[in-house]
Amino acid sequence: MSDVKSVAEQRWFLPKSSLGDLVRKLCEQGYTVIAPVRRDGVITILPITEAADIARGVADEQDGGHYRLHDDPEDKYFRYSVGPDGPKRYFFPPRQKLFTMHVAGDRFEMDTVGPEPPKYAFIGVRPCDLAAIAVQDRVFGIASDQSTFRCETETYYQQTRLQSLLIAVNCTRPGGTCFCDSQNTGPEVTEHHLFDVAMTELRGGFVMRVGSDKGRALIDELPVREPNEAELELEELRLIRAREHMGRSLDPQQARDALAKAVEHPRWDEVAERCLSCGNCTMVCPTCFCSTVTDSSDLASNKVTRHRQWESCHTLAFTYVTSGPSRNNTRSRYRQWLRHKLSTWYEQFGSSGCVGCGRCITWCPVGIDLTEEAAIIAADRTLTTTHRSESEVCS
Amino acid sequence: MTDTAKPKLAVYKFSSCDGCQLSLLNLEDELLDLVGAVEIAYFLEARRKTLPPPYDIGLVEGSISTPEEEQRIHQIRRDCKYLVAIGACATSGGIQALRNWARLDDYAEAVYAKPEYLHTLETATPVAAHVFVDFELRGCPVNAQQLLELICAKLIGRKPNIATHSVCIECKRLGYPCVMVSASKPCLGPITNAGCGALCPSCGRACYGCFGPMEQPNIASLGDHLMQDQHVDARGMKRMLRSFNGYLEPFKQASDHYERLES
Amino acid sequence: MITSASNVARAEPICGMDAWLPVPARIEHIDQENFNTYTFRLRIIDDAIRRMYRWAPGQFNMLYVPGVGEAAISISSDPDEPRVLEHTVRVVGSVTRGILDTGVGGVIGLRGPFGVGWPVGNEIEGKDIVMVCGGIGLAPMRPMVYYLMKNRDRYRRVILLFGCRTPEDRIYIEELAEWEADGRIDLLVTVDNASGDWAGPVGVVTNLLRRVKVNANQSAVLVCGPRVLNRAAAWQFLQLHVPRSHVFVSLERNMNCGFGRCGHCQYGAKFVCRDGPVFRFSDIADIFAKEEI
Ligand SMILES: Cc1cc2nc3c(=O)[nH]c(=O)nc-3n(C[C@H](O)[C@H](O)[C@H](O)COP(=O)(O)OP(=O)(O)OC[C@H]3O[C@@H](n4cnc5c(N)ncnc54)[C@H](O)[C@@H]3O)c2cc1C
Ligand code: SF4
Ligand code: SF4
Ligand code: SF4
Ligand code: SF4
Ligand code: FES
Repeated sequence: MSDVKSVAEQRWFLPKSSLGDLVRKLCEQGYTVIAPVRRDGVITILPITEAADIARGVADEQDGGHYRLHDDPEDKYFRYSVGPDGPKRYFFPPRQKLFTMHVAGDRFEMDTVGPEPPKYAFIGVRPCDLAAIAVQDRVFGIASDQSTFRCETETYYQQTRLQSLLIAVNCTRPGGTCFCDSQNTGPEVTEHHLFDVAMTELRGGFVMRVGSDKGRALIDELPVREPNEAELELEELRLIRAREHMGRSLDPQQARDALAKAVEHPRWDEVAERCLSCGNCTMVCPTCFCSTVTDSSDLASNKVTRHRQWESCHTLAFTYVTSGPSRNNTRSRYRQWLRHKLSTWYEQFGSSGCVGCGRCITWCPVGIDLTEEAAIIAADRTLTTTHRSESEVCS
Repeated sequence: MTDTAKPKLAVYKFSSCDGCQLSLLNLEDELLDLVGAVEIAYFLEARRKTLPPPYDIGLVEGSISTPEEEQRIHQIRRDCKYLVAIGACATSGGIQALRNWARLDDYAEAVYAKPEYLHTLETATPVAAHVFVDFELRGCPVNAQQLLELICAKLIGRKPNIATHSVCIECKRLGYPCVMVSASKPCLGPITNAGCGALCPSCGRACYGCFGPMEQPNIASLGDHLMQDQHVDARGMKRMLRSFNGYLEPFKQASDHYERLES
Repeated sequence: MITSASNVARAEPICGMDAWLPVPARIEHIDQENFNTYTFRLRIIDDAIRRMYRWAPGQFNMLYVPGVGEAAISISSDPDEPRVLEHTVRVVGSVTRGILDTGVGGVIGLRGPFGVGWPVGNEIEGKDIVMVCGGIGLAPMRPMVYYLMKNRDRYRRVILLFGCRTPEDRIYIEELAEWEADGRIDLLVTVDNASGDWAGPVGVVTNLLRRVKVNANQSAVLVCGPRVLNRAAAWQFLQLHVPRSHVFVSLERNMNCGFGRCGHCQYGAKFVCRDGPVFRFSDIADIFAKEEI
C-alpha cells in the first residue's frame, strides 16, 4: 500500500463472504448491531446477530404514498433505499423515560434517571441518514461547532451518539422519492459526512474507506485486501450512475427564500384540502425532533414518572395554550412543517432541516410531496421580499 | 388514609356488551392498586355491596336506548361529581346507533320473535346527548391503560394524557409498517383518534376506526384517496364510517355524504 | 453566570446534571393577589444552587408539580434581591391549580431561568420607557419596574400603563399604590368594565396612550399582555412612529422544555423559550401580524 495516500483516500475490499466477520467482530466488541431487515413488507432497521439477518435480494419501489418490496434477481444486500425507520429511533427513542422519583420531604428522590445508554453499531446507514444524524447532533447540542450549556445537554442522546459506530453504505440504487443529490447529502458518503466506515457494494464484496480512527481500527481486524483497479473503477461507475437516478429534485436555496416570503400563499389552502394532519411525515422524518413530556403516577407507591415521546407539529396539543391552540387549522400546521423543514431551520441550526431522504413523501398516506409543494410556491414570481405594511399589525 | 376518606367510584351499565367494564376488571394488578386508592362504591358487575351516593367519579358504559335509561342517567348525573362516558356506546351511541338510520320496527321484527315486548327509544344515543359529561373516553372497547390513566389523573389532579391526534402517530412511534402505504389496505388510522396503540396495524390489518374521529379529521381527503387509489366505492366508504362510531360527528355526516353518492 | 441583572437580559439556567431534571424548591409564602392569582415565594432547597441562582427581568422558570406537570411561569421578583424568588400565577388549569394546592411548606420542582428578558442597559438608557401590561402581564414586568426605579437617573420618563378587565382583576394592588405615591414612575391603571367604587379610567389599556405624550424617537416600549393587547399596542406605537427596533413584546406559546429542544414554542424561526419570550418587534415583524403562526 502506497504511503502517499492519506487514510481518507485509502480503500480496502471486504469479500461478501466476510460480512459475517464484521457482524461478529462488532458483537464481540460489545455493540448491539443494528442493520436493515426485511419485516412485514418493509425494510426496517433492527438489532441483528448475524449477517444472514440483513435484508438481501430484495429491492424497493417508492412513490408518493406508495411502497413495495419485491424479490430482486441481483442477490445483493443494499439494493433498497431507506425504509420508514432510520437511526433516529435509537438515539432519540419514540418514547423514553426521563426519570422516576418520589418526593421525600424536601428532596426529590430519583429512582432512575433514564435508561443506561446502549452501545450501537449501525450497518448500512445511508448518506442522507448520516446527514440527518449530523443535523440532530446540532439540535441536541453535541456538535462541536455550537456552544451549549452543560444543563442543556441530554445525557442519553449525547452518550448513545458518542459511543455509536456508523458503517455507512453508498447508494447505488436511489429510491423513487429520493433527492439527496439536490440537498447535497448523498448518494455518496463524502468527507462532509460524519462516519466511521463507508462502503460500496459490488457483486463480490464491499469497497471500503474509513472516516475516523474508530473505523480505521475496525478495518485492521477484518479480513480485507487491497481492491484492484477494476473494482475501483466499477465503484466509481456505480456512484456516478446513482446520481442520474434520483427520484425527485429540489432547489434548496430557492425553496428557502420562497418559503421565507410565502407566509401567506394560496397554495397553503390547496394542500390543506388534501393534508390529513395525520403526522406521518413528521414521524418518519429523520431530522424532526419535536417531543412532548408527560407525567404518570403510580397509585400504590406515590412514585411519579416523566416520559418524553415524539410529538408532531400536526397535532392540536402541540401549540395548546389556555386560549386554545395557536395553530388551529391544517393549513397553518402544514405550513409550519414545510417552512420549518426547508426554510426556518437554516436560521435555527445553520442548515436545511431536510436531507432529501424522501420518507415523508413515501409515507404520506395521500402522497403529498414536499418537493412539489415547495416548487409550486418557489415558482410564484409575485412573492416579494417586503414585509407587509405596519398598519396590518392590527389586523 | 381511612376508607371513608377515599374517593368513591361508581360504575354503571347501560345498553352495551360489558366489554368496557371487562377492560377494567382485566386490569388485575392495577385494579388492586386502584382498590387501594379509591372506594368502589357502586359496581354491580364486580360486587354486591353498594354505598349510597354521592360518588366522586362515575363511569358510564353503554348508550341510552330505552325510556328507563333516559330517566336513570339524569339521576346518575346528580349522584356523581365527575362523570365519564366510557367506550363507543356511551360516547357515540355505539353499534346499536346504526338503527338510527333505519326504522326501528324493521330491526325489531328481524331480530325478536315478539317485538311488541320491546321498550326502546327510536334512537340509541350517547350519554352526552342527555346530560353534561366531564370526560369521554373513546374505544370499542376502551383501552384499559387509558381508563386507568383517566382515574389516576383525576385522583392526582393531572390533565389526563389522552391524545386526540391520529392513530398514525401511535402507529409510527411503535414502528409498525404502514398497511396503507406498503399494502394498499384502506386504513382509517389517519382520521381516527389514537388510544388503541395501533392494534390493527400491529397485526397487519387496516384500522377500523373504533376510537372514533380524531381532532379535525379530513375525511374527504382520505375518502378521495381510498376511492381513487384503492378502489373503495361510496358504499364501502359509508360502511367503513358507520361502524362503532358511525353516529358520531363528523363520521355521521361523512357517511351520509357517501350514502348520497351511492345512489 | 452573572451576578447582577443590571446589564444583561439573560442569565443561564442552573439545572442539575440533565436539562430535564427539576430541582426541588419549597413554597415559603403565598400572597393572594386577586380571586384567581397568587404570588408564591420559593426557596430552592439545595444551598449551592440557591446561592448561584440569578435571573434577569423577563426570564421564566418551568415550575413542576410532581405527577401533574410543568408550566412556564415568569419570575416576578427583583433580580437584585436574589434571596426572594417569586412567581405570580394565575390559576387556570391543572398545573397552576397544583401549585396552589401544594400550599405553604410544600415542595415543587423548578428548572430555569430560561429565555431572554427585557432589554436593559445601553440598549434603552437615556430614553423614555413606556411599559404596557394587561392582566397577568404585569407579573413578568414587575422585575423591570424594580430595575427602572433603582436606576431611575439613567432614564427620562418611566411610564407604566396597566389594564385589567375589572378592578377585581388587578394584581399587586398595594404595590401599585406605593409606586404611585413614590412618584418615580408615572402609573396609569384602567379597567375594561368599572365596578364597585372604581373612579379611574375605563377602557382598553391602549386608550391610555392619549394621556401620555410619547416622544417617538426617544422612547422604548415594552409590551406584555394577551395577544390582542400585544397587537393593538404594538400597532399604536408604530403608528406614532416609534422605531420598530424600540418596541419589545413578550410572547406566550405552549412550552415543554424551555431550552429550544421540544419544538412546541416555535414562532417562525424563533424558539420563544430560548430566543424570547421578549422579542424586538423588528425581529418578528414579518410574522407578527399573521394568523396561526
Ligand atoms: C414564557 C411564559 C411566561 C409565563 N408567565 C406566566 C406568569 O408569570 N404567570 C402566569 O400565571 N402564567 C404565566 N404563563 C402562562 C402559563 O404558562 C399557563 O397559564 C400555564 O401553562 C397553564 O398551565 P395549566 O396546567 O394550569 O393549564 P392547563 O389548561 O391545564 O394546561 C395544560 C398544559 O397546556 C400547556 N399550556 C396551557 N396554557 C399555556 C400557556 N398559556 N402558555 C404555555 N403553555 C400552556 C401547558 O403545557 C400546560 O401544562 C406564562 C407562559 C409563558 C409561555
Ligand atoms: S423532510 Fe422529508 S425528505 Fe426531507 S429529510 Fe424529512 S422525511 Fe426526508
Ligand atoms: S416539522 Fe414539525 S415536528 Fe418536525 S421538527 Fe419541525 S416543528 Fe417539529
Ligand atoms: S403531509 Fe401527508 S403525512 Fe403529513 S400530515 Fe399531511 S397527510 Fe399526513
Ligand atoms: S397503518 Fe394506518 S394507522 Fe398506521 S400509519 Fe398507516 S394509515 Fe396510519
Ligand atoms: S419550549 Fe421547548 S423548544 Fe421552546
